[in-house]
Amino acid sequence: MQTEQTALDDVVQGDYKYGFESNIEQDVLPKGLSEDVVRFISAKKEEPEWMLEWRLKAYRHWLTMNEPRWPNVAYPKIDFQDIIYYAAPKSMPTLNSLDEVDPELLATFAKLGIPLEEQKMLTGVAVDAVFDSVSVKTTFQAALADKGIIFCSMSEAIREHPELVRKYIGSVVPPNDNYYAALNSAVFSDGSFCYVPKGVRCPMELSTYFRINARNTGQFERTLLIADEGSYVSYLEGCTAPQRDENQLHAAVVELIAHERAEIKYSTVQNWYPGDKNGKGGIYNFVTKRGICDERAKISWTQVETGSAITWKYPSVILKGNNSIGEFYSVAVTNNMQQADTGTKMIHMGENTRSRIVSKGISAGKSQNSYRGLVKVLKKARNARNFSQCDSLLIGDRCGAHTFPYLEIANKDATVEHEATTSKIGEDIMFYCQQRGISAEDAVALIVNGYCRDVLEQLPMEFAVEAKKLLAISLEGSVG
Amino acid sequence: MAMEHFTTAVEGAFTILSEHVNGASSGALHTSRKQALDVLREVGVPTTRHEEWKYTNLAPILANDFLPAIGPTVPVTRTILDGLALSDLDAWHIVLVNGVMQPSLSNLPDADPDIQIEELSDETSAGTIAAATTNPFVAVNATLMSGGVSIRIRANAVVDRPIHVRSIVQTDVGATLCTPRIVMQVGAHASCTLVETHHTVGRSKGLTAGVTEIDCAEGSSVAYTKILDDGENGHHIGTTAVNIARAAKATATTACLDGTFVRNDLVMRLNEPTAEAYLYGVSVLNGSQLADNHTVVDHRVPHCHSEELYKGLYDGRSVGVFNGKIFVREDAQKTTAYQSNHSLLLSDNAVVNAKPQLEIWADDVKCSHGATSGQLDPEAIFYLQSRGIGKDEARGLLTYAFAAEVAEHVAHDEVREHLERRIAEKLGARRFDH
Repeated sequence: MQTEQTALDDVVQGDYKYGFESNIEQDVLPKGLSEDVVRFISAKKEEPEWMLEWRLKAYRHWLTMNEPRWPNVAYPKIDFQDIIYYAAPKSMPTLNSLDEVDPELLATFAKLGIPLEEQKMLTGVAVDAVFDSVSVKTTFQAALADKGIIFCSMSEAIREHPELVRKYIGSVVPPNDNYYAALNSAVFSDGSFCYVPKGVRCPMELSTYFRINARNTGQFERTLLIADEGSYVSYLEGCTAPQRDENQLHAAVVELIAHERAEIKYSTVQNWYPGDKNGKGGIYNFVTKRGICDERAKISWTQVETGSAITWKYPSVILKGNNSIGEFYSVAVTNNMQQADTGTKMIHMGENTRSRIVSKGISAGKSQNSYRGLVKVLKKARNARNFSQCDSLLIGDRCGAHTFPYLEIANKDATVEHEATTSKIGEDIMFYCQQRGISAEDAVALIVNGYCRDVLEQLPMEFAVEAKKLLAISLEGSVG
Repeated sequence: MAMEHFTTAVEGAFTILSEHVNGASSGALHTSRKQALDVLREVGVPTTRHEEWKYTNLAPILANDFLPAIGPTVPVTRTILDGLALSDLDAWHIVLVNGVMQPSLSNLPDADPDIQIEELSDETSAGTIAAATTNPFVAVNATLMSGGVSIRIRANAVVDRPIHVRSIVQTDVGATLCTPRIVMQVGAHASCTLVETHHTVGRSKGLTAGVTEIDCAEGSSVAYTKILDDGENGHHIGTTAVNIARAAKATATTACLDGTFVRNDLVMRLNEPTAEAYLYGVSVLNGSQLADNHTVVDHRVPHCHSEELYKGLYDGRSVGVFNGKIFVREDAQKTTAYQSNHSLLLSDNAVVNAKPQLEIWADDVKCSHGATSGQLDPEAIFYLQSRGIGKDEARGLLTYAFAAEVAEHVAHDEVREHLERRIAEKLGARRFDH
């Protein structure tokens, strides 16, 4: 009964979330975190006892931990008692037409080339019946169900597929892994769950962008993605459109499990609100992302990070199985007062494991951009191979670019190569472009896109097109 | 436990020093020692939780309960001196025993206007280049240093003969800590060569917490070579700090060839435009030796240049650590800074941990670093084989060439040849092992 009702709510709320308020529950917990809050969230989601215990264990462990201060970012101390840990989806004021939307936002949409209907949806304008997401969703899910692929919200998965969730949740990022992972484990509100059965090649790019019921999953999102033996899945997260959110702290956890011969491609475009030019406001994006590869499996992370006041994340791969492959492609752009400390960890455990890291950092304005990465080759990882390339581009003389690669090699057959460069856009290249009639701003966009090409070409096509425009927009006003 | 014991031993020695005439508790020296001790007390002996000591665990080293010694405990004979490395080098040899300069054992220039070598009589003048706050072991040195060596090179002087400082720690009475200090001031447009070696003499283990400060005035040129080629009892934790002025050039070569434990902190500060810094390092280790090289190249002003090359060959169960920081401060435009670090692991049990690190706050710069760990190129081996050279010999040649590339940068012929010979010996010894 209840599940049906919730599933229906999901659909209804998701679709017309910004348009109708009647179906939205108005439960809001007071600020603060305690065991009662954890119990409340768990009860609200009608979770089984083991899930509650799991959350409580994480919470108790979190209490014993200290907030990490080692990243190369600065921000005022977070008051964890000043956060609302459970709130029903927030409603935005209903607007009648796009004319009422902030023109600056509309201009951004136009540059990104976002279709008009989607613009309306994103800004909370009542959406036409033509743009029928319900039908999109239905055909979408039918195609997936046909292949036996489970793709639903985390809450739903806990209810409908407890055996899978119980088996895999916390298996890659244990609740006591780090401070924010522990916090997330205790209070995660929702997220996505995906299971691809043996030998199945997922017929479409799974995307949170199109998956209606996962919108506004809150600040503590949890994603669990399992690719069973020999399967393939490509997953897109995020959205190129600027996302504004009331929540300042976002502490998500993403776990990927690639079984034998499976392949997971995980792409992220992150464009949370970065704060204004003076660094006021903006999202703290503190994320733990990690995947584990069995024999001959492959996990590939691609990320384009342009938003957030502070980005702090290291999508990692544990290459447990022999012959497994890990990849990390990243573009991180910081402008104005943004700070980013991002990179990856490649842990080579199995023989003949391979990893490739391509990181492109771009700093402009007064921003600070750090690459921090670890390549660890364990003693047994014979013939492990790693190639890392970390380039930084500086635009303006008040920004910083930093590289902190860690190489820990305990096997003589391993080949590990790391190279990093830091430079600015060459004056002669700029001059050449300008002399050909390309404005300074367009020239920067052109050069930056070329510079990021290795990463952008890893993105699914439609994402790549938007990401290119997004890079240009993020760097607007940084030259001249 | 070992850590606290170490601090207590340093405190004990400090108390004894303050009862001496010179260190009297009212004097300036006492104050500066006390300040250094306070630094040590505050930061403590670092553990592996400390980022700068992440890969190097001091606990087993300090478990040896080293007791500080100042000055010779037994007389040093000529025979001992002659047995030490580079004793036949045509150089000004300066001998420090347990941190105190021994003019009678040294070979000093006699009334040469260009070069002035004397006992560091006013220890309070030290510490301007390597402050006690640099790291806990500089603090240890600053707390206990007494009678190191002061070297002054007159402006415009060209000193061809190298200056060789050999620091000896005597360990006949038990595990001993010594704290040598070398302060060198090179006048404007002068040039000189400084060689620093460390030796443990005695039955027990020795730990040297050494500090070397070099000031390169405008237009000067300094070649500095530090050789760690001690016996099994040798443990070394040393800091070298170099200030480089306008148009001056400093080259530092660090060779870790033998000794159980070595930690080097090398700091090169480019303080005025057009200063140049060159850093070279080579580690050839076997057994359970550990060599940890931390370098800092600090570009503080525009138009400076730095180059860095560190290489390591690790056999047995040895551990190599490299951390190279390049800082380019705000407004230090037109900086060029290059760094590379290459390692070869020769055994299944050897480990290398590398952390090249660029921190850049200026935009008009060209900076890069590269780090690799791998094996000899099979194609190069094949090429040599095709020329009639046996596989083992080919491997030997390539391995030697890998390490010797660093030695090539030592300008002084005799010193370079000595390094090359020692590298070959160490690698050769490995071949006979198998």
